[in-house]
Amino acid sequence: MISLASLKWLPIRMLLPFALLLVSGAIIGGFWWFEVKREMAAIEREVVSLQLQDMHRLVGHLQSLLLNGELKNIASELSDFGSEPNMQYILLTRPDGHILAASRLGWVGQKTDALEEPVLPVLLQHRKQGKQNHVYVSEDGMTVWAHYLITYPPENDSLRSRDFGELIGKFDLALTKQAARHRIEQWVSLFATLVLGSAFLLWLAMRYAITRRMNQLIAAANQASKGNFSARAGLEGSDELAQIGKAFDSMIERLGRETMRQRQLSHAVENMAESVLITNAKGVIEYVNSSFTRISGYSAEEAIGQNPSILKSGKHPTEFYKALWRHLSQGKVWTGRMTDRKKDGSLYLATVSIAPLLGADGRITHYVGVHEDISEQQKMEMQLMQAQKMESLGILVGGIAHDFNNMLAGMVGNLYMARKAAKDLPEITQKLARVEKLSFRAADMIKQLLAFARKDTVQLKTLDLTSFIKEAYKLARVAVPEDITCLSYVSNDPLCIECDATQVQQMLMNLLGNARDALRNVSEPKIILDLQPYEPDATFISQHPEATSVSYAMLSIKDNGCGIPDDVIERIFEPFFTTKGVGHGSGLGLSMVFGTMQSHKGIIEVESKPGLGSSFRLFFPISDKSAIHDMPDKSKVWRGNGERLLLADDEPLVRDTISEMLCIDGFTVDVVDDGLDAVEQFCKRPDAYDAVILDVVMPGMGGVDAAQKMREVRPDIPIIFATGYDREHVLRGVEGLPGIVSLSKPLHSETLHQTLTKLLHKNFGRSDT
Amino acid sequence: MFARMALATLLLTLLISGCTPAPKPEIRIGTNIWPGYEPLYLARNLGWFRESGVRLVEYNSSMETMNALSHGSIEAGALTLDEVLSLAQDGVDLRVVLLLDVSNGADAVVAQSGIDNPEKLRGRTIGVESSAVGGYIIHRMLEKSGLTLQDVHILPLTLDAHKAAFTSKRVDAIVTFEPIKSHLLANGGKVIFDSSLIPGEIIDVLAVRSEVFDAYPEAFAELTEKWFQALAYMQNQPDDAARRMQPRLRVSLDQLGQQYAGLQLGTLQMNLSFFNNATNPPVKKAEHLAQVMRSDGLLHRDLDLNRLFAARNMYAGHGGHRP
Repeated sequence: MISLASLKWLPIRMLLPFALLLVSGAIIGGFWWFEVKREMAAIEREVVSLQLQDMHRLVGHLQSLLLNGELKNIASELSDFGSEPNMQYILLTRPDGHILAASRLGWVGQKTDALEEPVLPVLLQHRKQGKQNHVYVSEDGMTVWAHYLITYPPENDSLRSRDFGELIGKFDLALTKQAARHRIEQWVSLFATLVLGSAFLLWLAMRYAITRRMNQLIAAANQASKGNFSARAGLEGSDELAQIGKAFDSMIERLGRETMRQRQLSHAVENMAESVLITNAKGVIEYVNSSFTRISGYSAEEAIGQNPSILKSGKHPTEFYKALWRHLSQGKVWTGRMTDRKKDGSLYLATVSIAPLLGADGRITHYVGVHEDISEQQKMEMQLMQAQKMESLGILVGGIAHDFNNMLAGMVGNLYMARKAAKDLPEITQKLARVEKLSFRAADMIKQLLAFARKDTVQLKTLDLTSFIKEAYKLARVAVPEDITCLSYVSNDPLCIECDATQVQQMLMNLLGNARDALRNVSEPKIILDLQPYEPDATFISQHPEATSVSYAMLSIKDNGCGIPDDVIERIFEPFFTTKGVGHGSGLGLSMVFGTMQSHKGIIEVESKPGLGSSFRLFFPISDKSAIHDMPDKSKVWRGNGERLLLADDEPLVRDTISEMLCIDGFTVDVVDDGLDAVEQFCKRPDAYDAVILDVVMPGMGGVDAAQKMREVRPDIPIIFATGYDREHVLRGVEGLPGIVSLSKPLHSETLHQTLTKLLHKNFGRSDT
Repeated sequence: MFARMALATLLLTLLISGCTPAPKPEIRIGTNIWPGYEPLYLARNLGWFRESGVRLVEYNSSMETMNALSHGSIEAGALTLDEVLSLAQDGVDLRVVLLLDVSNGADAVVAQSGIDNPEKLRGRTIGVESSAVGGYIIHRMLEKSGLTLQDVHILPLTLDAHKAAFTSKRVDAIVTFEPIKSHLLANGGKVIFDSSLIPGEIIDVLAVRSEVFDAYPEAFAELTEKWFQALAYMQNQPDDAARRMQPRLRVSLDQLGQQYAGLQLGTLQMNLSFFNNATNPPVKKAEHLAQVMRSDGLLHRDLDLNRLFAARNMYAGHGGHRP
């Protein structure tokens, strides 16, 4: 039995029309068959019933006519009956079997069996079949027979006749039935046409109302399944299909948004700078992002399926990891730092945050871990710490040195005078000379310390490093033993830098000294000096962000000595840090280098491998000014000749020392103890003075302000600043101006003389000492 | 796919409508026994009416035919034109569709021996069937011989009484027609006047009730075709035709030929010239006949004879067509 449900293969627009056709077809077919049967039966019944009436009347009439012997009337009666509907023929036989009268005039007088019509045999058959009625339908339903026995009047005058004739009538139903069938068929074809038309209209309606719109929905659904979330069905109306369409549209929209958001999130995770890994509840890695691969070195294929223990550095004890997992399995987020191992084995510090993800049932389904590589950060932190340490050391050292320096100034000055006063007592002079030497050494040390703390006077001049180093190296080589091979590769091109020549010299001395010491007990000891221009590359800049200059002069000193071990190399620039035994090194050399390079805005790089040697590289920024060839001229010394000097210093000891020194050398010195007095004194008789010596830091008014004031009164007055410690910015503004020099305490008499010579040289003529 | 289904259903519909064709309309034609009508029975005997709805109703006299036609018991009838006019007078709306035969000597006045011309009938008794034909013949005979009705004595006789009346010399002359005519001639009678002297005036036609003709003109076209085919059969196979036609006429085969002497069966040519005759249209002939009937008192009002011959359109297309 075919059920309509199994017709799913049929498109919907076909289904209803098809069903209509099917059902209608069945109905029509049924009607047709049934109606035909009914109609045929009705015709038969009708004809039979009609003829029963008509024949009955005819029979009666014929009987009476026979009785009266009206043969002519019998003939007309039967002729007339010939026009009866469905009539084929009717005949009346005499008792002897001859036809008395018939509707077929040609039959009159003949016997029934002589006719071409098989009349009698049929009747005989009917009689055999026991048909009792006078009017009955034949077997095939196409004929209605009428059969009556007619009583003839008796021949002789007997009361009861025994003569019977037969009245036989044949009615043909064929045409009537054909007409009925035709009528029914006409109705059937009309209905079929109507049904067909309706089915077509229905199909059309379905096509428009449903199919077309359904196709829209189908197309949109297909689009959406391919991943195009902008597809919309766009169905209008308020029927069920439109409702589906609207629901579909909003579903797709939401899906599109969700997918977009998911994509964004996964994109974000994928592109995070931190490495992200997701494991399942058992700790098996299911997902890693690209940063993970970049940082750890494991590709996604290598990592997925593994346990995060592949990152174990071995730096943490088992308890650490146990505690971690315990914390996590309680559903809490773990944050902290740990050392991880990359695929190549190197370790890096990472800030780690691991969070458990809960499923719908509240149980942990996944863990999400975020590792941030902070090795760079760590390095920077350490650098900062180091810088801070150095800074505080500098402050400490500077403070001490400053006070120390002042005391030394007094010592040195007094010693000088004492030597001078006791020049006739050689025992004392010798002792004094020793003390002076020691105090000079002390002063030197303080100077180095001050250099480290960047508190000494730095006079940056444009210098051609190439020629300077060549000279300086020659000098410095003296300190290096003969058995050490000294090589130098100095660039031919001039390299002009802003530097303090003295300090550069000092640095060179320190570095060579260290190299010499490192080469002790080394076979084939070698020192290589290298001076070349250098242009920083990206690596250099990333390592030294403070390197702002575009080109540098690189001075490198290399040795193949014992090298510096890793645990020491961090501390080499700290003051008083030394690996040499007591008395062999002050531990200030490299700290002085450090501080000097800082003030020169340069950069130091150290490379060392224990057992192989060390290399120190100093980078000086190239100056855009040309070098000034200014070598101190020691040959000319000028004694004072009664020139008047104004001396201002808040330290009475210093004041006295310096003024005495100068008086001995033939100068007249007026002394004040602060800037205000100095200005006052000066302004009383500005032209009386040949030069002014000012201490920079004084209470009331400082040296710089005093100098400015004096310069307002007399712009050309030569001024010498004596400074205990130098903050560059203090002297800024006045440095470099003509007739202004700054000297650092303790003031050496020679330096003072030289400076005065230079300054007063313009104003007075030269004279020989 | 739908197109295929539509096509299938359409074919089915056509099949249904072609299944049982509409039956031909039932046309009952009433006739009496007259040689001029027998070709119809030849056609029936040959089975040509089997598929059609034509049924021949056999009456013994034209009076029965007329009654049946008038009552609507039959749809058409084979009658003489005067009989048609009588029916028309009674209000039966008929159409003449076919010229069946023309009397050309078949209708005759048979006189006793000794009377050789109509003039001799002055003061004599003439027996005649009280029908229009008989009256028409007498009228025309008297007209042609300069006599009037007053000059003779008319005795109405039914057809079956003709023989007896003549042999018993009850009448001096009798207006009769075959087959009786031959019998009387055998008994010493002599034809003194016949329809050959008034050619084309006594005609037999097939008259149809107008509503039936209007409803089924094609059925009558078919019928007339079969009529002409029957005539052709008689021409081509006279013996077989005679055998088939004999029973109703009740004459022996050799006598059959004689039956058609003095009778012109209405061929297609005759029908065409009858219906399409411009100069002497059938209406005119009818008018002539009507006049006579009126004067004889057989018609008592004027008739619209045009309606009677409206069926002549059937032959309009046949002009010039040879059978």
